[in-house]
Amino acid sequence: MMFCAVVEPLLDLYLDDRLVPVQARWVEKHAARCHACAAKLAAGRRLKAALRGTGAPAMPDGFKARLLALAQAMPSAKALAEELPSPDLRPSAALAFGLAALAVFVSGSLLGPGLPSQACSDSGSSVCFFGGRDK
Amino acid sequence: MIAREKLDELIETHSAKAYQAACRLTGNQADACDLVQEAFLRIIEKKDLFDPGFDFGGWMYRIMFRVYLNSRRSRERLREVPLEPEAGSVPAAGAGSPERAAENSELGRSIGAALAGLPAELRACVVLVDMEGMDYEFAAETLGCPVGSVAGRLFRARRALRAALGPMEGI
Ligand SMILES: [Zn+2]
Repeated sequence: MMFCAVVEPLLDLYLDDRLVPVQARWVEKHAARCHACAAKLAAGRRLKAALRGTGAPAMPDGFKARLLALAQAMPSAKALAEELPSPDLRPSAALAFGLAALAVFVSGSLLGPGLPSQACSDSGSSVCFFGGRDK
Repeated sequence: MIAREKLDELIETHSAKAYQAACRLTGNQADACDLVQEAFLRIIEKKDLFDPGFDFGGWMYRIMFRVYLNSRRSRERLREVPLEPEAGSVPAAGAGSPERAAENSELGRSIGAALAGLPAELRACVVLVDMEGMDYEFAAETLGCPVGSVAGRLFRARRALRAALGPMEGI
């Protein structure tokens, strides 16, 4: 159909409700007559629903405590972050980090190297999982 | 200036949301932790610039997305890998039955892999608008580009995602 090339760039904007009413009606009228553009519109809706419904992992145990410890250590937070070991992703690390945070609280100074800390997952894998959609 | 107690409160309120967006950007938890930590370090460093009247959530997004984009541009340090199931993952609302959850997990992995194939600027746009539910104006401000660029990036990103996901998911 001759208007498809004109309508196609508007489909995403229509789905995002970014068109003025007269443009939106034009897209709707065209899609009502054009199977190709109607199919693209439907595919766009499915993609948006899938993306919107995609989950994300919960924040790992101990990670918020790490951020709070960095805030506590300011203005030396950067130095503390560099001294803390990289996340080891072990289950016991949350407790270890709690102790580290307590040490920061008590001393109010930088921690020595090698002190256990925790910043991330309690799983062996560090790969995220995006699960689920709501439509 | 942000007082210590205020900073703690902001971390309590916003860190989980920041972490979720970081996971979507980087594709894995270790890099998400690095990204969120770096963003909060910048916030701590810039705390004197913070006006309590500002929207801290928006400020946090801007800093984190810019850290991400700068990192990708300069070093390509953050890995982006296809996503795998992991214990503790929080599915979106309405995950439903185990069969539905399995189906959704499969789609989640496919979406993660397709996102990983996008250039960082397109991915950031999709994460902000399509996954985090922000509007074009917020995305433009966060990414430091005109609103028209957001629309253009979304158009290209969605076309690429449909091409990647279509054969598998009927998208
Ligand atoms: Zn058409």
